[in-house]
Amino acid sequence: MKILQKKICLLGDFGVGKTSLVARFVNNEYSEKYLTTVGVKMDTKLIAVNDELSIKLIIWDIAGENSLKKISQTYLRGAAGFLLVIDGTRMNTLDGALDMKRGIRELLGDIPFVVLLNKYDLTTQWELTAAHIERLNTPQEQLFFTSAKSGEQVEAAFNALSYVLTL
Amino acid sequence: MNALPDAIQQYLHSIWTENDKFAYLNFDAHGLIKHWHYHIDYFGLTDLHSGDPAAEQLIFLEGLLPYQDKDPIIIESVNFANGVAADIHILPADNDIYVLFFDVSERVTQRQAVQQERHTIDLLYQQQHKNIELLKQTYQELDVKKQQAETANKEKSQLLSYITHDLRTPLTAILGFAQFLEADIFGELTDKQRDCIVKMLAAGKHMDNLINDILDAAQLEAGNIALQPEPLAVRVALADCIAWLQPIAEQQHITLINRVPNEVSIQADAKRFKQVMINLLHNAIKYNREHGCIVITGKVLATSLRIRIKDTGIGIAAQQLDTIFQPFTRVLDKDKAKKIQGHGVGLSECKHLIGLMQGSLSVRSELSVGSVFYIELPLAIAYQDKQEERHHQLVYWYQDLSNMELFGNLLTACNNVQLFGCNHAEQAVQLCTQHAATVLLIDINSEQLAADIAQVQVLQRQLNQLRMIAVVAKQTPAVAMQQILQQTQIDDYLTCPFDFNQVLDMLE
Repeated sequence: MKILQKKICLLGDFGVGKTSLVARFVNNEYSEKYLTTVGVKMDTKLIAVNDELSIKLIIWDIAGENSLKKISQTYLRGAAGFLLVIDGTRMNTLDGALDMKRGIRELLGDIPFVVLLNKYDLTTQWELTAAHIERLNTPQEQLFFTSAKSGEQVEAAFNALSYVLTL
Repeated sequence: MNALPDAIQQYLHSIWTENDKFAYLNFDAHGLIKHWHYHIDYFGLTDLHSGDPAAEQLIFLEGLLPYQDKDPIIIESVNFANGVAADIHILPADNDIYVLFFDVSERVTQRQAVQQERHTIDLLYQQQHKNIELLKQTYQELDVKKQQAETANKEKSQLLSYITHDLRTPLTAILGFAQFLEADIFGELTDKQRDCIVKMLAAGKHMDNLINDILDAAQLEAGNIALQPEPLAVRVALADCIAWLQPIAEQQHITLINRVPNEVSIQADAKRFKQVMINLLHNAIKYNREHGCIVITGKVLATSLRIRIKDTGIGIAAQQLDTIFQPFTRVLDKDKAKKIQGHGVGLSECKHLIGLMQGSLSVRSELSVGSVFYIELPLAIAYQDKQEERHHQLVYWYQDLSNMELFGNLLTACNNVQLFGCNHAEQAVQLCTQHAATVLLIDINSEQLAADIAQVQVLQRQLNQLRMIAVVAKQTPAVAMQQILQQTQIDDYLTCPFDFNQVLDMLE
């Protein structure tokens, strides 16, 4: 069995649910309590891609910022891929995400990523429309409507990124 | 060029490129010499004298003048005295003969360079071909020698196996009858006779042990040992080994402590696992000091269990660490070797057996301080599935993010550790409190020692009772280290670049 080790980062505005997504993915946990992430948190998760290959994700959960300029660029060094998290109930988190996506392209080049439109369980407060999503200019297979609370599509999003990282 | 007849111009268009330097000579019956000299100046031919190869070629051209064929005659790469090379095209048109000169010096130089390069490549290729042939030959020879060595080794192992078996049969009889005598079955013994029998039995048992070890080693080498890996409760298996060795340990007043967690199970052959542990623990007793201690701990990693056997013995010198797993190697000097029984097959056998169980065996040691043996074996599948929950929350207050990144990468081997990082004191306090951290790691830079120590002291007041570990560069002076340990409550430190075993020991 071959094990690949890859660093990935979660990026997104304050309170979009990055830490909750990691907690759901890594420990299958969810807490309603909101704790602002301080500094950086590193988690790991081993995913079996097939019988012969596994990938060990080193997940860097970075304190939320609305602009890439405010994130220490050293956090992103060596990242093989990233998850861009948007809060579907807060339109303004989309603009920050678009900026970050552009910035990360300049910084790290064309590395794989997926976009997580989070808090999909809050249907009554959902603000993002198809037109908004189109602005992301991201292929359908890289877009995930996720809910850290219910767990919906969380694993699928991480798995999709992991799969691309093995190619 | 405009003065040229149409046929010649067409010809030129078909072969001429803009980069070509071009001149032409037009010979007619009357103005031959005049035209000849006028155009020859372009190529610097005025210095030609008789005997010059280029002059010879021009004389040859003069001989071609009466020639009136329709097709052009091309003489390639004519070298002139001034270094110019030209292609000369001779062709008839309008009842005249035209001689066209194309300067091809550049092309010729390039061609020569290419030829030179090709020649060099050819030489290299030939050399490489020779090397490959040599390598092939060497491989074939090595293969033959390897096969011979393997056959010899197998024969040796079989021979050893036969010999030891044949030695064992009479030895069993010797020991059996000696036991009868000792038990007074054939009448009561005198004190002197009993003393002799006791010594005979002791020596016989030692020989039996030796034969058993050699037999095992021979069977291992011959590949005759079949293992049956199964889920094995480590703590229970170790308790059996300890119970067996307890009397020997007590003779030297050595304490054996089993701290392997209760519930852990590994995938291993029970008999061979116990054999390895008894061997290692027996060594830890034999090479320990009186009133010493042996602590066995177990750390669950992502897919394996890492067992650590730490003793307070005589230790092994750094230069001997590489050889201790080789068969028939003992690291003791002759005097000590006489006092401590052994024949140096135990560790090599242990390594071999652990390897057969898909594990690894390694050692760290310090002279006069003690040795630590690490055995890593795969966790039982059922136990691996249970390993989801996380226990340790570590906070790393870094000055250099790379240190934390390196540390985090090492921790990926552990399933039960979560790492938080920050580079501000207030954030460190917040993270430790928020996540009920068990350990705080602190980067300490010896170049700003006083400031760092002051920061640690402030943190200690706020995070009373929390275990703090300093992370220092490998080259940190001993004086600075003393200062850190004396002036703060830090009692442990890691050096960067990190040593995997040191990190895991620290976490235990």
